[in-house]
Amino acid sequence: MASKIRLWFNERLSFGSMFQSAFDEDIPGGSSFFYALGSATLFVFALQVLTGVWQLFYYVPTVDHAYDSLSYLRLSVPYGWLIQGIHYWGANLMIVLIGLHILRVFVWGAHKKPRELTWLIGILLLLLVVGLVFTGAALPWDERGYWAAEVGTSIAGTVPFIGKWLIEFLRGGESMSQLTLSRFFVFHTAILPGITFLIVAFHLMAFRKYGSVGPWQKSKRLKTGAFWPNQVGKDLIISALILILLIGLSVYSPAPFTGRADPLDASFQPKPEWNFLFLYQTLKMFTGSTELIGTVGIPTLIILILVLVPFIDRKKDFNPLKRPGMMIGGFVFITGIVILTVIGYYSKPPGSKSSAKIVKKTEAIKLSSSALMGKSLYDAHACSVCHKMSGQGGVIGPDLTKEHKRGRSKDWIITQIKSSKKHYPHSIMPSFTMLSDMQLNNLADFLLSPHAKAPSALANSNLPNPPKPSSNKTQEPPNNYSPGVNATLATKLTSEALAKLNPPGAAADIIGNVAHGALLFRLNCESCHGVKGRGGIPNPGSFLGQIPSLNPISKKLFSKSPQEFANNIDRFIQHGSLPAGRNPVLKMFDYGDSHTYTQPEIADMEAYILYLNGVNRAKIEVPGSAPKQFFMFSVAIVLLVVVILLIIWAFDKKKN
Amino acid sequence: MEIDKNKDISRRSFFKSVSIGLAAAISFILGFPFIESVVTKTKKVANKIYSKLAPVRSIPNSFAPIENPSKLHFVQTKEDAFIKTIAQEDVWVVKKADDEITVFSPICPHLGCRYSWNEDQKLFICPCHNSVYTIEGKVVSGPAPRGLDTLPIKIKDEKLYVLYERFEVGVPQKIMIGN
Repeated sequence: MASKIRLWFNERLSFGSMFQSAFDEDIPGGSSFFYALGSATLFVFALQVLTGVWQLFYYVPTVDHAYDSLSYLRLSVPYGWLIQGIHYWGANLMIVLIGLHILRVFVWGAHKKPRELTWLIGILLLLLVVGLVFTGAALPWDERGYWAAEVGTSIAGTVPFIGKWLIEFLRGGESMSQLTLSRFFVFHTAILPGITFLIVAFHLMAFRKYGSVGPWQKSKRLKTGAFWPNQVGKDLIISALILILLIGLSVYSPAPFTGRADPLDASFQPKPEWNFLFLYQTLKMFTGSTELIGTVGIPTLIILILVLVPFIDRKKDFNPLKRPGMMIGGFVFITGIVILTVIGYYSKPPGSKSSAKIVKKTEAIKLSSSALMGKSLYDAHACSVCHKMSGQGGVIGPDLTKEHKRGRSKDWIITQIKSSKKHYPHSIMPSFTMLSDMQLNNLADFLLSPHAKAPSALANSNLPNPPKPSSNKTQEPPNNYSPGVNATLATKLTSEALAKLNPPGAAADIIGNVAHGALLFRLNCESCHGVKGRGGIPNPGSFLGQIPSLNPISKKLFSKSPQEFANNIDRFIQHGSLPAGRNPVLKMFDYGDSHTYTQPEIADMEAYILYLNGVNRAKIEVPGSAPKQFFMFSVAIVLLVVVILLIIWAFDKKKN
Repeated sequence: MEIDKNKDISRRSFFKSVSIGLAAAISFILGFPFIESVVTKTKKVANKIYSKLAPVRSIPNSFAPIENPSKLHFVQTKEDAFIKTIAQEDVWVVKKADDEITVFSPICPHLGCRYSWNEDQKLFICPCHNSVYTIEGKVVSGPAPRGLDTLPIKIKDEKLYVLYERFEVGVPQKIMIGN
């Protein structure tokens, strides 16, 4: 029966001969792992198609839901993290593989006659992949993708004559909008993949027509090896390794959540992904009237060089040693791109340079150990809420930058901190009686140090390790304001405040960007809630006597569920809250209701506050099987197959 | 030469095993998550917030003077995958006395249509497949596998609140969706 069915098919469509024409071929010099780069690229492309289509089950291309739909896929769909992860890392890896493939072909001289067209079709494929990477990056409509698309389309706009037309074609209008996202979506999921399919077919047909070029040594070319199964086997070994690598990257280094696109956000510093860094760096070299060289000239030149390779390198010699000119040219070309990428990677946008300067300045001041302690007390008690020092801080109290030049004694300063009213009966400065004598001494030493500079909080731009909320013992409870204060009371006050507030806003449902949230927190929240939200800032007239700590946060607000935690704190950030007590000096403002911050910004700050309390806002809720377990499982499957193959191999060897 | 050929053949057959083995491994590793991601349930969130319906006193008695349940509308935040919307919803309220109130889900437990009250027959009738229920929610006739689903209620400050939940249809048990 089975043979009858086979016969029926073979009479009409002979799979056997189709397979033969596709796979039966002798490779001069035999199979090689070097030749696996092309098929590895093809394998990753197939993975991209598969994971791309699968993401369409969940993704929606609208500006208000694209980011949320992708967050939902990654966190709430079984194996969504894996599908998105493979697609994200696959795109990166594909660029690397294509680069290596081109390099391999170049060194072996496989672009020479009669294979010039195969090379050109390959360059076209490279450009298509670059287009796919560019359009794909915008689809999450997150901060990074949005700004990359904004900059990228603007660059297209500088093309002479057709620039204006091009930018409108890409964006669907003059500015970034829903139409831009729709267009990028169509380019990325329909037009470019369609063309790529076709061109890949051409590339393979052209390859099949002339076969592998083989080694350049005549002696080695005499022996031939079969494409099927020898080369296919090697290709699959590389493919399996690539799959394990992609799964590993998805598990251990997932793409960051960069926050929902926020066109109003000026504090986000866009920088391209690594694959466009060399262009970004060249772009920076050309400003003003020469800008066109960077935006259009250099990319065109690079493409032109690649296109011209088979026409420049026309000698019949394949041996790279006999083509020194080409090899040096290729080396310079690659080194140039690598160096520009590295410079681009380490270069910082102008804004962050100044903060680096602050670090240097602060570090340059030599403080006594006591004054150093005083400095950290100054930061921890957020003196900068009211006082300015070296240009940073509030204006409620006097500027303290030149305090050491005012000729005041240490005792005077200690009394001033402990009880300002003794010096100025109408002073509004809180009495910091909770400080020990030693701490007061330290603070006075800090204030009396010459050249005391700005507190380091702003300069500290690296994300610290998440502190354990319970280990936070350095904070001394300021028991002078409300002697009876304890945790239960604080919790009760929190729940009372919570009950008065309206429901959470949109930000609570957005997965924020922790790193960006840390920056926003330092700029906006730290002055009241303390460094890293550790609290301790006095709030005279309130029942608690101080501004609540966010690290650790009130038990009433804390939740292990990121969504619930975000909901709880979001209500305070959106609607503000008046602390319980007779006449609190400071209150929480309604940052959301008053539109002081955008919802994506609030989401970022919330992600950071969760992070401070040891909760990951981007926690995977429905993982399928746990990511790490799945990685182990994949490795185990491949190892199992390898062991079986080794047994077969050993058995065969014995037989012969 | 003969030995070389033999070697070549054994090499070929080994690479055949390599190809088949690894292709199988790759398909197996990938197949599992790809199927799982589209057939397994994604996260569903059960509604936990009570919605305000109306002051208890303002709801007419459903048995006197005439037998007539009330259809009450309210607004609630609806979570649908990654989209949160504020949507209007309605429920059937049957009041015997101020402290004897039943609230029915507006969804027919047969196949999920919305039923309505027939004033002539004094019965709830579902237009889809003619499931018929009494004002107490009991099945009178038709294909319905169970009576109408009641919803949890709460009375606070003399106002009636309801927890809007949804249940699986077509089965005799009342199973909540989203838990």
